[in-house]
Amino acid sequence: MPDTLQEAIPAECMAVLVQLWDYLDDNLDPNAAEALRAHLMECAPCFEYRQFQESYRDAMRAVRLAGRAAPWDVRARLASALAVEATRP
Amino acid sequence: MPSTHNALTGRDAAFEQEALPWLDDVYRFALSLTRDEADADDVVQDTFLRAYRSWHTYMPGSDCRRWLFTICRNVFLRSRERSRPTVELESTEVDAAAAGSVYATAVREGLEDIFSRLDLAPAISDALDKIPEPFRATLIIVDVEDQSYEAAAELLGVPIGTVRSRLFRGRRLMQEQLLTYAMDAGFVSCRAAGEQRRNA
Repeated sequence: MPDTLQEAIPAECMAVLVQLWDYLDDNLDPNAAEALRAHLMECAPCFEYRQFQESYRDAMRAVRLAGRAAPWDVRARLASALAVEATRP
Repeated sequence: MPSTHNALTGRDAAFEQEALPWLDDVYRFALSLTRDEADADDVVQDTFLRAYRSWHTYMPGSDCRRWLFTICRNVFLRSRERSRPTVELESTEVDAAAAGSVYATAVREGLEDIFSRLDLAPAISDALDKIPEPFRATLIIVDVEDQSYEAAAELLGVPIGTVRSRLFRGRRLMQEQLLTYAMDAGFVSCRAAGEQRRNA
């Protein structure tokens, strides 16, 4: 992958820009995934671009893992509402 | 702490076992949609009451979290009674080039490792608040809640291709926000810091 976008982008590197997220999200067909994987193995800038995007994905997932729990009063209110609902015929 | 698991009896055991354990996830999802704790409380309560009443439509063994998220999203949209915003999407190639441009900026600023170095949780929450809909909801569903494109399409009521397009743009917008945050906060990469120490 070229350092700047002013330079011409080789087709294989452009494919990484366009298809990388489909690849990381397992939404790329097997042949295209294999071609992308092969290019990532031989093109250092594209490999580093992949690392950049993977680290973004990991940081976003970490938000969920560190996410807050439902507060006490929400639980209490829901428990009460469900108890009333359960008595309905 | 009161237990919602003790509120129901007998015939409702399946609801207790399969739906209620997702309360924290649904609460967090509702909070991310509403951006307001009081509104999130109402959405959560309505979500679980609707889920309880519709429990006969839930297919045992299917993804209960996804089912609850769908109800939650619908409750939220009904509560807002707003029309779906329309946004012009750029072509994939244009968005791809823009995503590459964000990365090029990160490299130029010595911040290519920014996402793996910092506890970005507070910055990510702030950045998400600045992302316009419908990109924000798509990012929350796929990137934060780790749902599939298919699940996101179902939740949002759009084709999978639209989910893909929104993710492409949304991820780039998020990265722009986080990069701006890092530069404004004066973060430097480990490599740049090492060079600075050697040059000092």
